[in-house]
Amino acid sequence: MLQKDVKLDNTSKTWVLEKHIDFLQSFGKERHQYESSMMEFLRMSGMYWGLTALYLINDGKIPKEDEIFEYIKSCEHSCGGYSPAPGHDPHLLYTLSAVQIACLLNRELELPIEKIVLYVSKLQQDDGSFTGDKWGEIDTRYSFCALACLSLLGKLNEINLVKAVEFIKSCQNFDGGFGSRPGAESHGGLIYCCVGSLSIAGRLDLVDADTLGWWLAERQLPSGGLNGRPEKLPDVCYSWWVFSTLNILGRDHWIDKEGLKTFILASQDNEGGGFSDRPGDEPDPFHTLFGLAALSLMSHDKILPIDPTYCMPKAVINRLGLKPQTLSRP
Amino acid sequence: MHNRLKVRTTEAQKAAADREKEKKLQLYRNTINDVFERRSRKEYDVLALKSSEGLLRSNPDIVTIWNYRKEILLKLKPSEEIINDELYLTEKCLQVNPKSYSAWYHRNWLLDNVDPSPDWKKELQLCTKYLKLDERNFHCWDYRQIVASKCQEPIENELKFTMEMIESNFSNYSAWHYRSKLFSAAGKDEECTKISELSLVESAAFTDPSDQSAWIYQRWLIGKLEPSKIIYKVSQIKNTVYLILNRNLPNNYKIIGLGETIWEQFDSKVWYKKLDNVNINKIQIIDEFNQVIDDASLDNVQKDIFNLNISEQLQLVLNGQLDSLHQLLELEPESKWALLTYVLLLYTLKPNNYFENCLKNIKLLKELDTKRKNYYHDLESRYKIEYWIANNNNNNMDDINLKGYGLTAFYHMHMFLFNINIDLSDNDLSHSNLNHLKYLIMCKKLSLKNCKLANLNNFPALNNLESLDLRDNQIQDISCTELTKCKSLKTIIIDNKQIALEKILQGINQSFNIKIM
Repeated sequence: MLQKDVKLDNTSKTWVLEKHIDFLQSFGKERHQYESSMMEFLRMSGMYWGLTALYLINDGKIPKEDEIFEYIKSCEHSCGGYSPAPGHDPHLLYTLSAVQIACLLNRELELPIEKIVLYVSKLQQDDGSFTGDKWGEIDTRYSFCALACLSLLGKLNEINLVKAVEFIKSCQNFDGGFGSRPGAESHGGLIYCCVGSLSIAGRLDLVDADTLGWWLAERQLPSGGLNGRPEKLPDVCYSWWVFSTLNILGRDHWIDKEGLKTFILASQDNEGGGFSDRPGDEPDPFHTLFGLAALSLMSHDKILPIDPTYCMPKAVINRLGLKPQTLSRP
Repeated sequence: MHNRLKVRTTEAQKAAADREKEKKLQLYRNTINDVFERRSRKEYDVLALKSSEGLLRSNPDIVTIWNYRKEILLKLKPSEEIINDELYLTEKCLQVNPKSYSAWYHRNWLLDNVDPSPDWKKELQLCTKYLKLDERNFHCWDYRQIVASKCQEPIENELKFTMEMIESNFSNYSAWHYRSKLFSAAGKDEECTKISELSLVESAAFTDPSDQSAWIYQRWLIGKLEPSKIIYKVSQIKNTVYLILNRNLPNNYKIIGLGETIWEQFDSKVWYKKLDNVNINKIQIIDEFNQVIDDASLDNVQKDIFNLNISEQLQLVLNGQLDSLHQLLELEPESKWALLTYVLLLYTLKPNNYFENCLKNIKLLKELDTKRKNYYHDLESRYKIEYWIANNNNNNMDDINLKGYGLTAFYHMHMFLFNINIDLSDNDLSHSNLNHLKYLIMCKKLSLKNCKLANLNNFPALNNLESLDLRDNQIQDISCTELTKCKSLKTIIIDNKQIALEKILQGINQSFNIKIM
């Protein structure tokens, strides 16, 4: 039989805040040059993960703000989209990350908003779906990118929202979850994208919250960690995708939060800081953000509050005057 | 980064690894710069294709490089050989990273846009091969659906394929999922399908009762059944007629009756219409083919509102499953999935004493599956409220008595829209959202005594509410200001330990009559 969970060692993991700050600040420095170059094809998102995580545990402070904003500008393309790094092509994924970072820096108004809106809205297809870039790959991840990006800029009315919602609805499955396209299997990450999109659109009435909430609650394994699909291993990133969706649906009390906290804390790197996918693996900024974000959603006195729909600090979402929809407990 | 074990290294090992990294980094930079330069020189030839192969083989996720290849392929009008090489490259890349979105998409794009005679049948075989290697790769399953539709593979064949996958390993949720999609695409006789699927899934679930894939599928098959009725009640208050449903009105359904003006909605379960001359005749709900789904006349309460629409044949099958589950539970009394399915089936079939039996087993589930105990609490609350409604609420009853039911959640509050005295005391509503009480628009007397309330956040504006019992709660905060929204509220009952609350309430509205009992 395949291994379907992990075992946590008995040593209780303590919270190593200072090390997490060091870990996050070390990105962009010499010692991560190799990883940083090899991963430049997603660097803009990498920066969003790292900077959001840092904001949450560093009292809202982000170092080298000007340098970061200059970097965003260096990835701007004439079409209005952003690439992950200079020399690479623009894509919706990195356009959202660029806008998110600008919002963190309180500098979103300095972006060429009209051009970005044009870029995003042109990627919408007749059926309401979005392609990631001009090459035509359709995925509900891109629906979320489009809706999140435009709403952050206060321009949600620039796309056909009714059609966008219709497309997401068409990706709903028998288990109440959502996949990447109509017919595709439910998956924790894609469920977050679809439910997040519906939360932004104010159409959570389309979700069967009890059916989906139960399916998501069944993602919790004996270790306390969450997986993204049945019979899969737990992973810290699903602590965010699955738990934040349960939170949006008003059903996060359907899992054992203490168990989830234990699993996330066990996935810390006690020596160098940062979080990994599961205990004992190499840490990275992606899992560090999603581990911290989930802890924040379960209230943690050393982590600033996070918004479950946008995965951005609550303070930033409030400043922008956004009120993504959530459901209440039954 | 996933699944990368952190390894402890000595200084010497680390130095060697760093040198190795430096070398790789240099190679990566040289290659990607070379490729980017070729692109800026607009080189669209075979050499340019060759130049980026190595880069993608070591890292298939660099989207921009795939984009450059797409540009080249569009300009080049490539030979069959070049197309085959490109397909081969994507295969090699998928071996490096079977979850590479960009490699999967490049393959799809190539066949769609460049290959003049794409062999989708061959592609389907490739999917089969990959799925036998990695049976849960959702990228491949999703791609397979695209491919199957391109080559118009008969649904029967695809069903057969999922069957093979399930037979080799019951724990294949992806395959069960695909079956659910294939059945709805086929538009097959639901009843027949359901019966055959139920027996298939039963044998799978019984083979390994701890595996959740088959059980979730089975829950869906059972849960797909809907109540035969949809209208719970139609009532008139002054010049407004209210229509209460047992579920959200499906988009393709329409309410007709009472003239031509449209029905407005409180939400998708509560509809109303203002009328000057009410002459109530029948109200009907019809579907898009004008078939009558349900009808009702004024003040007629549908008592069997939660009874499901089950044919005799299906009833037989489900009863058989109930028996087998009973036997399985005798052998494995702690099998959570068997127990949960047993409860769901009991609730679906409603045999004698089903309710007590459900409650007994839900209690066991809470003990067995502690991580999800709050889910079971809420499920129990729903069952209890439904049971109460089915057994108590009749035409002219003003009172709702759910005192001491151990409720943790509000379900179906909209069905209490017309009731005047509502007793919800002795429940645990500490974490529930009081906004669910917004439906109690006719309620005059409400008891929330001993409900573990710590505040009155989100308490709705109930215009007819006159008396509210708040005894034996730990409310201390100013959320009580919410009560000023209830324009008729005169009497609030508290107990003698709630001195602080008395002051707060007096501060909010001096005309409140506060009774200490």
